[in-house]
Amino acid sequence: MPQFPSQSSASDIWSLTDVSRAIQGQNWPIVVQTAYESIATTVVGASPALTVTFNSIPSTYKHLQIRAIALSNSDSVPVLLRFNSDSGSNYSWHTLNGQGSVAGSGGGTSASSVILTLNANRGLNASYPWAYVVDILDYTDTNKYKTVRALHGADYNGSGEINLTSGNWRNTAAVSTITLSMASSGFNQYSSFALYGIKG
Amino acid sequence: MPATYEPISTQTLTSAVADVFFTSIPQIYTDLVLVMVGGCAANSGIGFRVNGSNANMYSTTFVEGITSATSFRYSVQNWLRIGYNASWGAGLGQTAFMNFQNYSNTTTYKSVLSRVGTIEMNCAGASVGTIHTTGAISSINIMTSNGNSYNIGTTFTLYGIKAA
Repeated sequence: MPQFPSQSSASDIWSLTDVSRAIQGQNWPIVVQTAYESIATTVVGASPALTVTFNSIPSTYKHLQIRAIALSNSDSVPVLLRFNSDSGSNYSWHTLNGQGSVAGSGGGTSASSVILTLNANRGLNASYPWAYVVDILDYTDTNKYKTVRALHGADYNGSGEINLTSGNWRNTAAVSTITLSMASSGFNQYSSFALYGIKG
Repeated sequence: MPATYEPISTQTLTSAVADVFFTSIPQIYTDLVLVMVGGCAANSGIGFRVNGSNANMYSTTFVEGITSATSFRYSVQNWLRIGYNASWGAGLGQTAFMNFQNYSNTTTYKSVLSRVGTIEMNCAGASVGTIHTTGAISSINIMTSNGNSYNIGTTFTLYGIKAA
């Protein structure tokens, strides 16, 4: 019998005979071949975290995606997104939001971060997770400023908000560090932030 | 780095049905993504229940664009509707995309971020829903607001994403 690979590997080449034997033997391994890989995950422990940082991000992908849920005792402290520890006035962002009865919009230019979860009293909650899917596009391209798009929000069964946000970091450097932060209060226990890479 | 974003199950309708089920969902992933492409027999709100529960434990906030941006909310519902005006109509050219965040954890309520595009209603929308349970999601029942069927050819694909 051939030595079946125990995990996905592009270098493993199976002959038709190998495949046939595997099928007949009901010995078909799980072979995963996707262009989407998990890079790192942070789950907040018992002490609230003011900052969640992804360092030393590999430059081997085309795009990045952050998938997260966040809890906090404060509903009025914005969540800030920064790259490469840059807190200069090098960001801009805009958002379209739905607040249940009205649709709104907002934004900032020459800002010190991309702002996610902006609005006072409609921000994070201690019981209901605020969910995020954030895409950082062409993050290694040194010919472009970096762009972000995000779908995020929370419904609190009577209040809450859904947001479509775009952002820009006016820097052509490759993104190697991503920071999500709150100035006070912080992310509560069970908040979870996962970074993924998407190959081009 | 471990590869992920794996297809769990795909269903393509060969007959029109009002309910589509994904059961025995593996608990080995962090998030689920459900992609739907198709249509309904007549204009219908689309959404789902989880774990076979029709308790009043679902709520959703929407933002939608037809000719201008609008927002709506459903609270204390017995299913989670992902579009308000962004319902599905005839044909097969409508899309829906749902992110079930941290579906297998047993400590937090579950959040669902969705996008819907519907040419029949000339509407695009996004929504966030909360499932007011800390139980892990092990099954999803996709349904419509009025019992109308999904059309033959409509596809439903469930993916799993596992954080390292």
